[in-house]
Amino acid sequence: MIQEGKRNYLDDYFRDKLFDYESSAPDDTWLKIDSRMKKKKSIIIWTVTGSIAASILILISIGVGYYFGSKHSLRSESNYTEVTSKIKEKSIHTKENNQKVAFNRSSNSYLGSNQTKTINSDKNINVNNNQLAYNNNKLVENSKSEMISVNSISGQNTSKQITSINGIKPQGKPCTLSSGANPGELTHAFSSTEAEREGGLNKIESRQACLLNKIQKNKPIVSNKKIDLLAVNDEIQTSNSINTGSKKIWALGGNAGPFYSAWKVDNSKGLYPDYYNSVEKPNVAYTGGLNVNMETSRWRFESGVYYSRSDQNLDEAAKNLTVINNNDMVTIYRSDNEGDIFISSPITNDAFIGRVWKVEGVPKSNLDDPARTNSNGYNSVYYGSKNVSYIIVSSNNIQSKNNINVDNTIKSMVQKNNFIQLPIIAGYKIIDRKIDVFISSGVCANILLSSKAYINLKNDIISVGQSQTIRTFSYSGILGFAFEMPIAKKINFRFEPRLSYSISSIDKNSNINVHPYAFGAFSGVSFLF
Amino acid sequence: MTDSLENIIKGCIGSKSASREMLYRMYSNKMWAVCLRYTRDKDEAKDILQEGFIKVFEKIKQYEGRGHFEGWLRRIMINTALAEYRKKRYLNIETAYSANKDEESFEHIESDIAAEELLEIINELPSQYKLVFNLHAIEGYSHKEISELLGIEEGTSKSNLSRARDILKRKVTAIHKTAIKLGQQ
Repeated sequence: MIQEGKRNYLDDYFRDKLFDYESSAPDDTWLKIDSRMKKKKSIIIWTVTGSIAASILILISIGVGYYFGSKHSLRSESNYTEVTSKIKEKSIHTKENNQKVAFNRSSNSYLGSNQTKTINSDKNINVNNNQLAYNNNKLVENSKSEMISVNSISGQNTSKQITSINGIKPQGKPCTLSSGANPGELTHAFSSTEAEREGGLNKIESRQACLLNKIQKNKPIVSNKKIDLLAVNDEIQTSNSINTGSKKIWALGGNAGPFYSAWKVDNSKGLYPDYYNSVEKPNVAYTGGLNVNMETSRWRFESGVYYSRSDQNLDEAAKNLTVINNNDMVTIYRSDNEGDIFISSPITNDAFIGRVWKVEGVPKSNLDDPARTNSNGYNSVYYGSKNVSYIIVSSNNIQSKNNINVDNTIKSMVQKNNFIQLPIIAGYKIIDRKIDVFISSGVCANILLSSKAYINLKNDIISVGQSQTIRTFSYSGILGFAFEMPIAKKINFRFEPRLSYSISSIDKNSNINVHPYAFGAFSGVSFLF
Repeated sequence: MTDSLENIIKGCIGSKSASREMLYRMYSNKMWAVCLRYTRDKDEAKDILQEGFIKVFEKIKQYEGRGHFEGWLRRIMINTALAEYRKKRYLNIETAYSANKDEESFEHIESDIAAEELLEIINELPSQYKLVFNLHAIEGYSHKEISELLGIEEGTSKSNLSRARDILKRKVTAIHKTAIKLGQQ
């Protein structure tokens, strides 16, 4: 066996040759390392920022829910007990999600669906397919209907002030129920928001309804809320039908808001997504437009037309560009083989080769048009002579800089993209209080209107033309978290943090997948009708 | 440590991209050669070089100026390469081999073989021989250190080294003889 520590000439031979041996490292490795380090840093920043933002949103939601839930709700167990204890035999209690139950005070228990139970000797409650029938007084609840109707308010154009419910006085202002001009109508819908806005029905919140005493004639009460609590007073003489369920509400609204927008490069073939992601700089964008909403008790469906601006900031692209201040007649040629463009200037008496991005006054399509070549020699085409004040070329490609006046004041390159957006969004109401809270998600079709690129100089902005690589149609996914509250009789205000992510790549180039995403907040109003 | 290297390291600790690039430019060629010795092909070497430098930049605060910086850097590259071996389960350590008794005869061969060619010869070795030979013969790790690094017995390390030496010696000798023949013609 080999003795450790013993000198071995073979080892020495290899060690002398290889220990300090150097070989040229691959050119692109540094770019990859740099971009990954930058990305790690940005991920940390985003994670911290996102966590803080999410925590604030959650705290606000909990705070709002707790505040309005505790201050305006009768749903606590103690309040419920207080009310039902006064109602004696005739009480009906319903619960969420169309699970209708009947309260049987004699047995102090609830009935489930598809059950029949007698409350007392002469009054039956039939529970059948979410329908409750209160036989003797013809009190019927049907979850599939959209109406609560109480045929029990007297007169037309009259109102009744309710000062107590079975002897329990509502807190705050007394509630008033008014009858409309037509028999069978009430001018006041029995929704929580409207009731609160009118200063009445103080203790009757959304999803709760009380039928009050001494209401005599047939008048409907309309609600778009499902009923949690239905109290029936012994003194009601002629009530004969109660229908609960959902009512569809339509609304037309407008929303607008700033967005924090960035582009994510993913799964590029032969390119380096990490690198491209690291040089993409987020921008503040904005979106605004009109929408139509259809809302039931818990669900809301929304569509509309929006105008959206989403920019792309390409610092790295700008670094590779140079502005040549020419102020002179230039002649433009193209070498078809190379794909580069030749520009000659009489004053500099010097031709240079560069990937030309922009020549003042020459359309980009002309510069890119291979049809403007001919077979007359290597630099085959003549584009024409023109007085220009600037030429923008890729700096790395300039082969001769003699007498060329180079302006190095490029700050950045920005691509300004304008879209029309057509969203289809479904929302579900998770908190049904004075301020409703919705979770919403959907898809959005994006139609590109224009995509223009600009170079920001120190004291100037130069348009470098229309981007040809952005798809006309793309699709985004949307996730939102909306807060909505009434600010007038038929006007609601909405504030909605929203995240959107482009599902389809917006770049036509199959070698690179570009997915813009944006986070921002809509705010706006909607008119109910 | 030179002042400039010290400043570059301070810049790296401060997450300055320019300092990182300077450090990379200073050592990338030498570390690339190290990576080539510990990997199976250039693509894998590229990955190790990239991962190794990222680790260096992330852990550079731990360097604290003690010891030779290049040695620290080199250890990180080697450890990164070994981790890749472990991850991909390339290692298949041979546990028993009797050393060739005439190994000392190599001292009589005089040959000037290019480093690139020696690198190729090393890379033709089975993975387990290559690692042990690189670690012991070129980096100077003891068999105890190698056994801890690779999770093998010291005896296994010695056995693999011996086998690697035999193969390398035959190849070097063959190259040397070919060169002599070509010289005579």
